Amino acid sequence: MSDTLVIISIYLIFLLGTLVFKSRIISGPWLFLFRSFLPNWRFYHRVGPLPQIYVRYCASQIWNEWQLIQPRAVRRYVDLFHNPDNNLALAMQNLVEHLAADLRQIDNPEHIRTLVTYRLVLRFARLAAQKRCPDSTIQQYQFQLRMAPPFGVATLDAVVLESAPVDY
Amino acid sequence: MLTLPQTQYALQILLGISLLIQTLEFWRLSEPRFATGVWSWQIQKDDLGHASPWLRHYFTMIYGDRLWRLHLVLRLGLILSALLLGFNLLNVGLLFMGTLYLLIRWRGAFNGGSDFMTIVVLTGLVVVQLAQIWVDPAVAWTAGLWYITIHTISSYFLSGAVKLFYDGWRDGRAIIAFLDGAIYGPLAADSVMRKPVVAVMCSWAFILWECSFPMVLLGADWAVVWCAIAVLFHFLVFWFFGLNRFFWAWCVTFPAVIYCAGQLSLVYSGAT
Repeated sequence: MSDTLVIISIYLIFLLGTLVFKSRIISGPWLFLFRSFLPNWRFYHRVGPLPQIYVRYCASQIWNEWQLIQPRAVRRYVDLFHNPDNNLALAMQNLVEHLAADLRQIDNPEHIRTLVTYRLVLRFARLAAQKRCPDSTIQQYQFQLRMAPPFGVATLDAVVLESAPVDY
Repeated sequence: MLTLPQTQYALQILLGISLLIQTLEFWRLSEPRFATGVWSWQIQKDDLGHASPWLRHYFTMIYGDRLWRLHLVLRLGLILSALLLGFNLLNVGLLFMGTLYLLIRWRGAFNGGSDFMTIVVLTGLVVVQLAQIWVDPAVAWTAGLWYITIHTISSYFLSGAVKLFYDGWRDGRAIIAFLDGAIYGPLAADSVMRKPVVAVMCSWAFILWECSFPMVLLGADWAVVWCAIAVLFHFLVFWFFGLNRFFWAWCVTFPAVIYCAGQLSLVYSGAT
């Protein structure tokens, strides 16, 4: 029994050690794609700056107000068994967070528009504009990435990236 | 305490349900415009800009629309085979590789934590199937189940510990902020969760329960209680955050946790 308790104690001390001692961050394109092998069990652990996407579109030569695009849904019990649309919406939000992370790491700001995340978010913005203007009169659209402060609201001062207007 | 056959059967059923739910959701999301919509492979393939041209060509080929859907159909067949016939090296190995195929298409992860835990369980089962080539099946299964159990315990303990070190969780502000930002949010203005006392109590309940999850190692009875609380916890996570896959992905691991805790009980009592 004592050997078992020693092993369990070593395991728990190791876990605590991973919280206290930080190794250098290892990153890379293949690691990113295979990150499911390196589980990060830190879920909702801290309220940090929250990347948020705002979209606006031009219809009939008039630009509307910037609109926040965030995952929102009506709760249903069946979602416990089949929830594709909500999971997709959450994946879209993850994409926005990845764009914010990429912006922090990019060396040359001129290359922002070549980022995979930027281009995917641009498509996301197009889809969001389309849903809000179903009569297909959109001529152009664009998005803003804002960083909402912890426990705060993202104002125009919080814009970190704005796309140029794009033809619909 | 669960016997090994009971653990295997429970794992078989729960994993089958979890994978079935995931696969049907992926099928539903593979609409005709999947290839040209937001998650266009024409754009995503540039994630492999660092790879050789033949590798990029290979990935473009395997992520064609028809092959994608064919894989999902095959995956359903593999899941049914696991549900009806149990695990073997073929269905476990193909499910493992198929999961990787799916996750790479979604840039490494579709749903985060549930993907991680699904890979953990499948890895554990691959360990079981491969180890049986050299050792007794019971030993192989014990190794695989302990792999799953250690990851499960780690997931709760680490999740709780990082919350313990953050003042936003200790004073209840974080839980309100997360609930307001959740997919089923925001909280109603008069929600009971907005009361500071309630928010603090809920926060500390989560922190203490998660941090104490290693107590399952005290025995099967403790494991049953902590896993039962975990079922409620994950249901609440679904209820507020819409994370249905998390509920099933973690439920899959509980038979392993209870079995391993029971095995430890035998060690403590000197029975082995």
